[in-house]
Amino acid sequence: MRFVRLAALLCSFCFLALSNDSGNPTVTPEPSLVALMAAGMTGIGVVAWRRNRKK
Amino acid sequence: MEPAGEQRAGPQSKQPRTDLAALLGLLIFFVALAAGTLVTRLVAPNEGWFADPAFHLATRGVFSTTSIETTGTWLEGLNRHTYWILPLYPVAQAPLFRLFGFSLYTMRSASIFWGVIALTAVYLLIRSQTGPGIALLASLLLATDFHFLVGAATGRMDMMCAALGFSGLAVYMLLRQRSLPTAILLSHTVVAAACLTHPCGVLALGGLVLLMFRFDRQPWRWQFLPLAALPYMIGLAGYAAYALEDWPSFVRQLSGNVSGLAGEAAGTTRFGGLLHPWTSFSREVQLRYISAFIGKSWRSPYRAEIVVLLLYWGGATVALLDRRVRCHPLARLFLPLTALYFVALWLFEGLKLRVYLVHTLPLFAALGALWIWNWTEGRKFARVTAVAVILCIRAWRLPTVTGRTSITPNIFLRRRSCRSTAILDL
Repeated sequence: MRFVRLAALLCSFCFLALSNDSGNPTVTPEPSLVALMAAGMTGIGVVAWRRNRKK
Repeated sequence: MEPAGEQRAGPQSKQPRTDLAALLGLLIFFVALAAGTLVTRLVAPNEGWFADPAFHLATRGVFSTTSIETTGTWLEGLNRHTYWILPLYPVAQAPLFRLFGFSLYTMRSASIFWGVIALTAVYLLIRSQTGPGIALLASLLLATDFHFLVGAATGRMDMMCAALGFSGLAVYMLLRQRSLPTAILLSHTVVAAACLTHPCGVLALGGLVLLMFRFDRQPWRWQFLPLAALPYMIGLAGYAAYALEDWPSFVRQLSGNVSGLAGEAAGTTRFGGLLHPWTSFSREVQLRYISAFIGKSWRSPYRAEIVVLLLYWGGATVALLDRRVRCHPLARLFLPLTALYFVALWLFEGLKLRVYLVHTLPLFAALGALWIWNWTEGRKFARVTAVAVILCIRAWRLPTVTGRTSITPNIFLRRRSCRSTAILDL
Protein backbone atom coordinates (compact mmCIF):
# COMPACT_ATOMS: atom_id res chain seq x y z
CA MET A 1 0.00 0.00 0.00
CA ARG A 2 2.89 2.32 0.80
CA PHE A 3 4.38 1.69 -2.64
CA VAL A 4 1.01 2.30 -4.29
CA ARG A 5 0.64 5.64 -2.52
CA LEU A 6 4.16 6.74 -3.40
CA ALA A 7 3.86 5.56 -7.00
CA ALA A 8 0.54 7.33 -7.45
CA LEU A 9 1.97 10.57 -6.16
CA LEU A 10 5.14 10.34 -8.24
CA CYS A 11 3.07 9.61 -11.35
CA SER A 12 0.88 12.64 -10.74
CA PHE A 13 3.92 14.88 -10.25
CA CYS A 14 5.53 13.52 -13.45
CA PHE A 15 2.26 14.11 -15.27
CA LEU A 16 2.23 17.63 -13.94
CA ALA A 17 5.79 18.27 -15.06
CA LEU A 18 5.20 16.92 -18.56
CA SER A 19 1.85 18.42 -19.37
CA ASN A 20 2.13 22.14 -18.91
CA ASP A 21 1.04 23.22 -22.35
CA SER A 22 -2.66 23.62 -21.65
CA GLY A 23 -4.74 26.56 -20.62
CA ASN A 24 -4.47 30.24 -21.23
CA PRO A 25 -0.92 31.07 -22.39
CA THR A 26 -1.06 34.45 -20.68
CA VAL A 27 -1.27 32.83 -17.25
CA THR A 28 0.17 29.34 -17.76
CA PRO A 29 3.43 29.10 -15.80
CA GLU A 30 6.74 28.46 -17.53
CA PRO A 31 7.74 24.78 -17.90
CA SER A 32 10.76 25.24 -15.65
CA LEU A 33 8.56 26.53 -12.82
CA VAL A 34 6.23 23.58 -13.11
CA ALA A 35 9.16 21.17 -13.30
CA LEU A 36 10.65 22.69 -10.14
CA MET A 37 7.33 22.31 -8.31
CA ALA A 38 7.08 18.71 -9.47
CA ALA A 39 10.66 18.01 -8.40
CA GLY A 40 10.06 19.65 -5.01
CA MET A 41 6.92 17.65 -4.40
CA THR A 42 8.67 14.44 -5.46
CA GLY A 43 11.48 15.19 -3.03
CA ILE A 44 9.06 15.83 -0.17
CA GLY A 45 7.18 12.64 -1.05
CA VAL A 46 10.32 10.50 -1.06
CA VAL A 47 11.57 11.94 2.25
CA ALA A 48 8.16 11.35 3.86
CA TRP A 49 8.07 7.82 2.51
CA ARG A 50 11.57 7.01 3.76
CA ARG A 51 10.77 8.55 7.13
CA ASN A 52 7.71 6.35 7.33
CA ARG A 53 9.74 3.20 6.57
CA LYS A 54 12.23 3.89 9.35
CA LYS A 55 9.57 3.76 12.05
CA MET B 1 -17.37 8.03 17.91
CA GLU B 2 -14.07 9.67 18.70
CA PRO B 3 -10.95 8.88 16.69
CA ALA B 4 -8.07 7.60 18.73
CA GLY B 5 -5.09 9.92 18.78
CA GLU B 6 -2.43 10.38 21.39
CA GLN B 7 -1.76 13.95 20.32
CA ARG B 8 -5.29 15.04 21.06
CA ALA B 9 -5.33 17.76 23.68
CA GLY B 10 -8.97 18.73 23.41
CA PRO B 11 -10.60 22.11 23.67
CA GLN B 12 -10.59 21.97 27.46
CA SER B 13 -6.81 21.97 27.80
CA LYS B 14 -4.83 24.32 30.07
CA GLN B 15 -4.25 28.02 29.59
CA PRO B 16 -7.53 28.88 27.91
CA ARG B 17 -6.98 32.59 28.56
CA THR B 18 -3.58 32.54 26.86
CA ASP B 19 -5.07 30.71 23.88
CA LEU B 20 -7.91 33.21 23.63
CA ALA B 21 -5.50 36.14 23.87
CA ALA B 22 -3.31 34.63 21.14
CA LEU B 23 -6.32 34.08 18.90
CA LEU B 24 -7.56 37.63 19.48
CA GLY B 25 -4.12 39.02 18.70
CA LEU B 26 -4.02 36.98 15.51
CA LEU B 27 -7.46 38.21 14.47
CA ILE B 28 -6.43 41.84 15.09
CA PHE B 29 -3.29 41.28 13.02
CA PHE B 30 -5.40 39.78 10.25
CA VAL B 31 -7.86 42.70 10.31
CA ALA B 32 -4.95 45.16 10.08
CA LEU B 33 -3.50 43.37 7.04
CA ALA B 34 -6.90 43.04 5.39
CA ALA B 35 -7.70 46.71 6.08
CA GLY B 36 -4.48 47.70 4.33
CA THR B 37 -5.56 45.62 1.36
CA LEU B 38 -9.06 47.11 1.52
CA VAL B 39 -7.95 50.71 1.10
CA THR B 40 -5.33 50.12 -1.58
CA ARG B 41 -6.45 47.26 -3.80
CA LEU B 42 -7.71 48.06 -7.26
CA VAL B 43 -11.41 47.58 -7.73
CA ALA B 44 -12.74 44.52 -9.53
CA PRO B 45 -15.73 44.72 -11.92
CA ASN B 46 -17.50 42.08 -9.83
CA GLU B 47 -17.65 44.50 -6.91
CA GLY B 48 -19.76 46.92 -8.89
CA TRP B 49 -22.00 44.20 -10.29
CA PHE B 50 -22.69 42.69 -6.88
CA ALA B 51 -23.12 46.04 -5.10
CA ASP B 52 -25.82 47.07 -7.53
CA PRO B 53 -28.66 44.71 -6.50
CA ALA B 54 -27.90 45.38 -2.85
CA PHE B 55 -28.11 49.12 -3.52
CA HIS B 56 -31.52 48.77 -5.19
CA LEU B 57 -32.73 46.53 -2.39
CA ALA B 58 -31.60 49.04 0.24
CA THR B 59 -33.03 52.12 -1.49
CA ARG B 60 -36.06 50.95 -3.51
CA GLY B 61 -36.84 47.51 -2.14
CA VAL B 62 -36.33 45.80 -5.49
CA PHE B 63 -33.73 43.18 -6.26
CA SER B 64 -32.63 44.43 -9.66
CA THR B 65 -29.29 45.13 -11.37
CA THR B 66 -29.02 48.11 -13.68
CA SER B 67 -25.28 48.51 -14.12
CA ILE B 68 -24.97 45.84 -16.83
CA GLU B 69 -26.25 46.16 -20.39
CA THR B 70 -28.24 42.96 -20.94
CA THR B 71 -30.16 43.41 -24.18
CA GLY B 72 -29.96 40.30 -26.33
CA THR B 73 -27.95 38.30 -23.80
CA TRP B 74 -28.71 35.59 -21.27
CA LEU B 75 -28.74 38.34 -18.65
CA GLU B 76 -31.89 39.90 -20.09
CA GLY B 77 -34.38 40.72 -17.35
CA LEU B 78 -31.62 41.66 -14.91
CA ASN B 79 -33.05 45.16 -14.60
CA ARG B 80 -36.15 43.61 -12.99
CA HIS B 81 -34.85 40.50 -11.18
CA THR B 82 -31.31 39.52 -10.19
CA TYR B 83 -31.23 35.78 -10.78
CA TRP B 84 -27.73 35.24 -12.17
CA ILE B 85 -26.19 35.09 -8.69
CA LEU B 86 -27.50 33.45 -5.54
CA PRO B 87 -29.35 35.93 -3.35
CA LEU B 88 -27.91 35.83 0.15
CA TYR B 89 -24.81 37.98 -0.46
CA PRO B 90 -26.64 41.05 -1.84
CA VAL B 91 -29.41 40.52 0.71
CA ALA B 92 -26.80 40.65 3.50
CA GLN B 93 -25.17 43.72 1.93
CA ALA B 94 -28.37 45.77 1.70
CA PRO B 95 -28.82 46.51 5.44
CA LEU B 96 -25.10 47.36 5.68
CA PHE B 97 -25.50 49.95 2.93
CA ARG B 98 -28.43 51.46 4.82
CA LEU B 99 -26.50 51.48 8.09
CA PHE B 100 -23.04 52.57 6.96
CA GLY B 101 -23.69 54.20 3.61
CA PHE B 102 -23.17 53.00 0.06
CA SER B 103 -19.45 52.68 -0.57
CA LEU B 104 -16.74 50.32 -1.66
CA TYR B 105 -15.37 50.39 1.89
CA THR B 106 -18.66 49.23 3.37
CA MET B 107 -18.78 46.37 0.93
CA ARG B 108 -15.19 45.30 1.51
CA SER B 109 -15.45 45.71 5.29
CA ALA B 110 -18.18 43.08 5.27
CA SER B 111 -15.74 40.71 3.57
CA ILE B 112 -13.21 41.39 6.33
CA PHE B 113 -15.88 40.52 8.88
CA TRP B 114 -16.50 37.23 7.08
CA GLY B 115 -12.74 36.68 6.94
CA VAL B 116 -12.60 36.95 10.74
CA ILE B 117 -15.48 34.47 11.00
CA ALA B 118 -13.73 32.07 8.60
CA LEU B 119 -10.45 32.30 10.48
CA THR B 120 -12.16 31.70 13.83
CA ALA B 121 -14.15 28.78 12.41
CA VAL B 122 -11.01 27.15 11.01
CA TYR B 123 -9.26 27.65 14.37
CA LEU B 124 -12.16 26.01 16.23
CA LEU B 125 -12.38 23.20 13.69
CA ILE B 126 -8.69 22.41 14.23
CA ARG B 127 -9.06 22.80 18.00
CA SER B 128 -11.80 20.18 17.97
CA GLN B 129 -9.05 17.69 17.07
CA THR B 130 -5.83 18.93 18.57
CA GLY B 131 -4.10 21.41 20.88
CA PRO B 132 -3.77 25.16 20.49
CA GLY B 133 -0.26 25.18 19.01
CA ILE B 134 -1.13 23.65 15.64
CA ALA B 135 -4.41 25.57 15.53
CA LEU B 136 -2.64 28.88 16.06
CA LEU B 137 0.09 28.06 13.56
CA ALA B 138 -2.46 27.08 10.90
CA SER B 139 -4.45 30.25 11.61
CA LEU B 140 -1.28 32.33 11.34
CA LEU B 141 -0.42 30.76 7.97
CA LEU B 142 -3.95 31.47 6.80
CA ALA B 143 -4.15 35.01 8.20
CA THR B 144 -1.02 36.03 6.32
CA ASP B 145 -1.89 34.25 3.09
CA PHE B 146 -2.00 36.60 0.10
CA HIS B 147 -5.03 34.98 -1.51
CA PHE B 148 -6.96 34.71 1.73
CA LEU B 149 -6.29 38.40 2.47
CA VAL B 150 -7.43 39.41 -1.01
CA GLY B 151 -10.58 37.32 -0.57
CA ALA B 152 -11.23 39.11 2.72
CA ALA B 153 -10.83 42.55 1.15
CA THR B 154 -12.81 42.08 -2.03
CA GLY B 155 -16.51 42.79 -2.46
CA ARG B 156 -17.41 39.30 -3.58
CA MET B 157 -19.38 36.54 -1.90
CA ASP B 158 -16.55 33.99 -1.73
CA MET B 159 -15.35 34.84 1.77
CA MET B 160 -18.91 34.90 3.13
CA CYS B 161 -19.55 31.51 1.57
CA ALA B 162 -16.30 30.04 2.91
CA ALA B 163 -16.92 31.52 6.38
CA LEU B 164 -20.40 30.03 6.57
CA GLY B 165 -19.13 26.71 5.21
CA PHE B 166 -16.30 26.33 7.71
CA SER B 167 -18.55 27.61 10.51
CA GLY B 168 -20.99 24.81 9.69
CA LEU B 169 -18.21 22.22 9.93
CA ALA B 170 -16.89 23.75 13.17
CA VAL B 171 -20.36 23.88 14.75
CA TYR B 172 -20.89 20.22 13.94
CA MET B 173 -17.54 19.09 15.35
CA LEU B 174 -17.94 21.14 18.52
CA LEU B 175 -21.54 20.22 19.31
CA ARG B 176 -21.82 16.63 18.12
CA GLN B 177 -20.81 15.09 21.45
CA ARG B 178 -23.12 17.28 23.52
CA SER B 179 -26.19 16.81 21.38
CA LEU B 180 -26.10 15.23 17.94
CA PRO B 181 -29.55 16.48 16.84
CA THR B 182 -28.63 20.05 17.80
CA ALA B 183 -25.31 19.73 15.98
CA ILE B 184 -27.06 18.45 12.85
CA LEU B 185 -29.71 21.16 12.86
CA LEU B 186 -27.37 24.09 13.53
CA SER B 187 -24.56 22.98 11.22
CA HIS B 188 -26.92 22.34 8.32
CA THR B 189 -28.62 25.69 8.93
CA VAL B 190 -25.28 27.47 8.55
CA VAL B 191 -24.27 25.37 5.54
CA ALA B 192 -27.67 26.01 3.91
CA ALA B 193 -26.90 29.71 4.21
CA ALA B 194 -23.54 29.05 2.50
CA CYS B 195 -25.36 27.23 -0.31
CA LEU B 196 -27.62 30.26 -0.81
CA THR B 197 -24.59 32.56 -0.91
CA HIS B 198 -22.61 30.87 -3.69
CA PRO B 199 -22.71 27.45 -5.40
CA CYS B 200 -19.36 26.65 -3.72
CA GLY B 201 -21.42 26.22 -0.55
CA VAL B 202 -22.01 22.72 -1.89
CA LEU B 203 -18.39 22.00 -0.94
CA ALA B 204 -19.26 22.59 2.71
CA LEU B 205 -22.40 20.46 2.34
CA GLY B 206 -20.28 17.62 0.97
CA GLY B 207 -17.76 18.15 3.76
CA LEU B 208 -20.46 18.08 6.42
CA VAL B 209 -21.95 14.86 5.08
CA LEU B 210 -18.42 13.41 5.03
CA LEU B 211 -17.90 14.36 8.69
CA MET B 212 -21.26 12.90 9.67
CA PHE B 213 -20.39 9.66 7.88
CA ARG B 214 -16.85 9.60 9.26
CA PHE B 215 -17.63 10.29 12.92
CA ASP B 216 -21.29 9.46 13.54
CA ARG B 217 -22.25 6.45 11.49
CA GLN B 218 -23.16 4.49 14.61
CA PRO B 219 -25.43 6.95 16.41
CA TRP B 220 -27.07 8.06 13.14
CA ARG B 221 -30.85 7.61 13.07
CA TRP B 222 -33.08 8.27 10.09
CA GLN B 223 -35.13 10.52 12.37
CA PHE B 224 -32.25 13.01 12.06
CA LEU B 225 -32.79 13.38 8.33
CA PRO B 226 -35.65 15.91 8.63
CA LEU B 227 -33.46 17.99 10.97
CA ALA B 228 -30.72 18.08 8.34
CA ALA B 229 -33.11 18.75 5.46
CA LEU B 230 -35.27 21.39 7.16
CA PRO B 231 -32.90 24.39 6.67
CA TYR B 232 -32.49 23.58 2.97
CA MET B 233 -36.24 23.23 2.52
CA ILE B 234 -36.89 26.61 4.15
CA GLY B 235 -34.13 28.28 2.11
CA LEU B 236 -35.27 26.69 -1.14
CA ALA B 237 -38.91 27.62 -0.47
CA GLY B 238 -37.98 31.29 -0.05
CA TYR B 239 -35.74 31.19 -3.10
CA ALA B 240 -38.39 29.40 -5.19
CA ALA B 241 -40.97 32.04 -4.29
CA TYR B 242 -38.65 34.70 -5.69
CA ALA B 243 -37.73 32.59 -8.74
CA LEU B 244 -41.40 32.08 -9.63
CA GLU B 245 -41.87 35.82 -10.10
CA ASP B 246 -40.20 35.45 -13.51
CA TRP B 247 -39.42 31.78 -14.08
CA PRO B 248 -38.12 32.04 -17.71
CA SER B 249 -35.73 34.80 -16.70
CA PHE B 250 -34.61 32.76 -13.68
CA VAL B 251 -33.77 29.73 -15.84
CA ARG B 252 -32.06 31.84 -18.53
CA GLN B 253 -29.91 33.86 -16.12
CA LEU B 254 -28.91 31.01 -13.84
CA SER B 255 -28.14 28.55 -16.64
CA GLY B 256 -26.28 31.29 -18.53
CA ASN B 257 -24.10 31.93 -15.52
CA VAL B 258 -23.06 28.27 -15.20
CA SER B 259 -20.11 29.10 -17.42
CA GLY B 260 -20.74 32.82 -17.03
CA LEU B 261 -18.94 35.89 -18.25
CA ALA B 262 -15.57 34.46 -17.23
CA GLY B 263 -16.22 31.37 -19.34
CA GLU B 264 -17.08 33.50 -22.36
CA ALA B 265 -13.91 35.53 -21.90
CA ALA B 266 -11.64 32.51 -21.43
CA GLY B 267 -13.37 30.21 -23.92
CA THR B 268 -13.89 27.49 -21.32
CA THR B 269 -16.88 25.93 -19.60
CA ARG B 270 -17.60 25.29 -15.95
CA PHE B 271 -18.02 21.50 -16.30
CA GLY B 272 -15.39 20.95 -19.00
CA GLY B 273 -13.34 19.01 -16.46
CA LEU B 274 -15.81 16.16 -16.50
CA LEU B 275 -15.15 15.55 -20.20
CA HIS B 276 -11.38 16.06 -20.03
CA PRO B 277 -10.33 15.22 -16.45
CA TRP B 278 -6.57 14.99 -17.06
CA THR B 279 -6.40 18.28 -18.91
CA SER B 280 -8.51 19.74 -16.15
CA PHE B 281 -6.14 18.36 -13.49
CA SER B 282 -3.18 19.94 -15.22
CA ARG B 283 -5.02 23.27 -15.51
CA GLU B 284 -6.16 23.01 -11.90
CA VAL B 285 -2.65 22.80 -10.46
CA GLN B 286 -1.07 25.18 -12.96
CA LEU B 287 -3.68 27.92 -13.26
CA ARG B 288 -5.45 27.89 -9.91
CA TYR B 289 -2.35 27.22 -7.82
CA ILE B 290 1.10 27.56 -9.44
CA SER B 291 0.49 30.68 -11.50
CA ALA B 292 -1.67 32.17 -8.73
CA PHE B 293 1.04 31.75 -6.12
CA ILE B 294 4.22 32.16 -8.11
CA GLY B 295 3.24 33.95 -11.30
CA LYS B 296 4.02 32.62 -14.71
CA SER B 297 7.77 33.12 -14.89
CA TRP B 298 10.94 33.39 -12.83
CA ARG B 299 10.81 37.15 -13.28
CA SER B 300 7.65 37.28 -11.18
CA PRO B 301 8.11 39.18 -7.91
CA TYR B 302 6.12 36.42 -6.23
CA ARG B 303 8.59 33.61 -7.07
CA ALA B 304 9.53 33.03 -3.41
CA GLU B 305 5.92 31.92 -2.82
CA ILE B 306 6.95 28.60 -4.32
CA VAL B 307 7.99 27.75 -0.75
CA VAL B 308 4.47 28.48 0.52
CA LEU B 309 2.89 26.33 -2.16
CA LEU B 310 5.38 23.54 -1.39
CA LEU B 311 4.35 23.83 2.27
CA TYR B 312 0.65 23.50 1.42
CA TRP B 313 0.95 20.63 -1.03
CA GLY B 314 3.78 19.10 0.97
CA GLY B 315 1.53 19.03 4.04
CA ALA B 316 -1.03 17.02 2.14
CA THR B 317 1.65 14.73 0.65
CA VAL B 318 3.30 14.08 3.99
CA ALA B 319 -0.08 13.41 5.58
CA LEU B 320 -0.61 10.75 2.92
CA LEU B 321 2.80 9.10 3.13
CA ASP B 322 4.03 9.48 6.72
CA ARG B 323 2.13 7.22 9.08
CA ARG B 324 2.83 9.36 12.15
CA VAL B 325 1.26 12.37 10.51
CA ARG B 326 -1.51 10.39 8.86
CA CYS B 327 -2.64 8.90 12.20
CA HIS B 328 -2.94 12.31 13.82
CA PRO B 329 -6.61 13.20 14.47
CA LEU B 330 -6.20 16.44 12.56
CA ALA B 331 -4.96 14.64 9.43
CA ARG B 332 -7.77 12.10 9.75
CA LEU B 333 -10.24 14.97 9.69
CA PHE B 334 -8.59 17.32 7.18
CA LEU B 335 -7.10 14.91 4.64
CA PRO B 336 -10.48 13.57 3.43
CA LEU B 337 -11.90 17.10 3.46
CA THR B 338 -8.95 18.39 1.41
CA ALA B 339 -9.32 15.55 -1.08
CA LEU B 340 -13.06 16.21 -1.41
CA TYR B 341 -12.70 19.96 -1.93
CA PHE B 342 -9.75 19.58 -4.31
CA VAL B 343 -11.41 16.94 -6.48
CA ALA B 344 -14.71 18.85 -6.57
CA LEU B 345 -13.01 22.03 -7.78
CA TRP B 346 -10.80 20.08 -10.20
CA LEU B 347 -13.72 18.34 -11.92
CA PHE B 348 -16.61 20.77 -11.48
CA GLU B 349 -14.96 24.18 -11.77
CA GLY B 350 -13.51 24.34 -15.26
CA LEU B 351 -12.90 28.08 -15.23
CA LYS B 352 -10.10 27.64 -12.65
CA LEU B 353 -10.90 30.91 -10.93
CA ARG B 354 -8.50 31.87 -8.15
CA VAL B 355 -11.24 33.44 -6.07
CA TYR B 356 -12.29 29.93 -5.01
CA LEU B 357 -8.95 29.33 -3.31
CA VAL B 358 -10.48 30.60 -0.06
CA HIS B 359 -12.25 27.25 0.19
CA THR B 360 -9.15 25.05 -0.06
CA LEU B 361 -6.45 27.26 1.51
CA PRO B 362 -7.64 26.70 5.12
CA LEU B 363 -7.39 22.95 4.59
CA PHE B 364 -3.93 23.12 3.04
CA ALA B 365 -2.78 25.55 5.75
CA ALA B 366 -3.90 23.13 8.46
CA LEU B 367 -2.04 20.23 6.86
CA GLY B 368 1.02 22.43 6.34
CA ALA B 369 0.95 23.45 10.01
CA LEU B 370 0.62 19.82 11.05
CA TRP B 371 3.61 18.93 8.89
CA ILE B 372 5.80 21.62 10.44
CA TRP B 373 4.61 20.73 13.94
CA ASN B 374 5.16 17.00 13.55
CA TRP B 375 8.55 17.03 11.83
CA THR B 376 9.97 19.58 14.25
CA GLU B 377 8.74 17.90 17.40
CA GLY B 378 11.33 18.37 20.16
CA ARG B 379 13.35 20.80 17.98
CA LYS B 380 12.13 24.21 18.89
CA PHE B 381 14.78 26.06 16.87
CA ALA B 382 13.86 24.18 13.68
CA ARG B 383 10.17 24.93 14.26
CA VAL B 384 10.73 28.63 14.83
CA THR B 385 13.05 28.81 11.79
CA ALA B 386 10.51 27.10 9.52
CA VAL B 387 7.73 29.46 10.60
CA ALA B 388 10.02 32.48 10.35
CA VAL B 389 11.00 31.60 6.76
CA ILE B 390 7.36 31.34 5.75
CA LEU B 391 6.49 34.64 7.43
CA CYS B 392 9.46 36.40 5.82
CA ILE B 393 8.29 35.27 2.40
CA ARG B 394 4.81 36.51 3.25
CA ALA B 395 6.15 39.85 4.45
CA TRP B 396 8.06 40.20 1.18
CA ARG B 397 4.83 39.88 -0.76
CA LEU B 398 2.78 42.18 1.45
CA PRO B 399 3.83 45.44 -0.27
CA THR B 400 2.51 43.99 -3.52
CA VAL B 401 -0.83 43.41 -1.80
CA THR B 402 -1.22 46.81 -0.28
CA GLY B 403 0.92 49.03 -2.47
CA ARG B 404 -1.52 49.81 -5.26
CA THR B 405 -3.40 52.94 -6.12
CA SER B 406 -6.83 53.29 -4.65
CA ILE B 407 -9.59 53.67 -7.20
CA THR B 408 -13.28 53.93 -6.46
CA PRO B 409 -15.39 52.51 -9.29
CA ASN B 410 -17.78 54.76 -11.15
CA ILE B 411 -20.78 52.95 -9.79
CA PHE B 412 -20.01 53.99 -6.23
CA LEU B 413 -19.16 57.59 -7.16
CA ARG B 414 -22.26 58.12 -9.24
CA ARG B 415 -24.60 56.38 -6.86
CA ARG B 416 -23.36 58.62 -4.09
CA SER B 417 -23.90 61.82 -6.03
CA CYS B 418 -27.15 60.96 -7.77
CA ARG B 419 -29.46 58.13 -6.84
CA SER B 420 -30.44 57.29 -10.38
CA THR B 421 -31.05 53.86 -11.80
CA ALA B 422 -29.53 54.54 -15.18
CA ILE B 423 -27.12 52.12 -16.75
CA LEU B 424 -23.67 52.82 -15.39
CA ASP B 425 -20.30 51.91 -16.71
CA LEU B 426 -17.62 50.40 -14.50
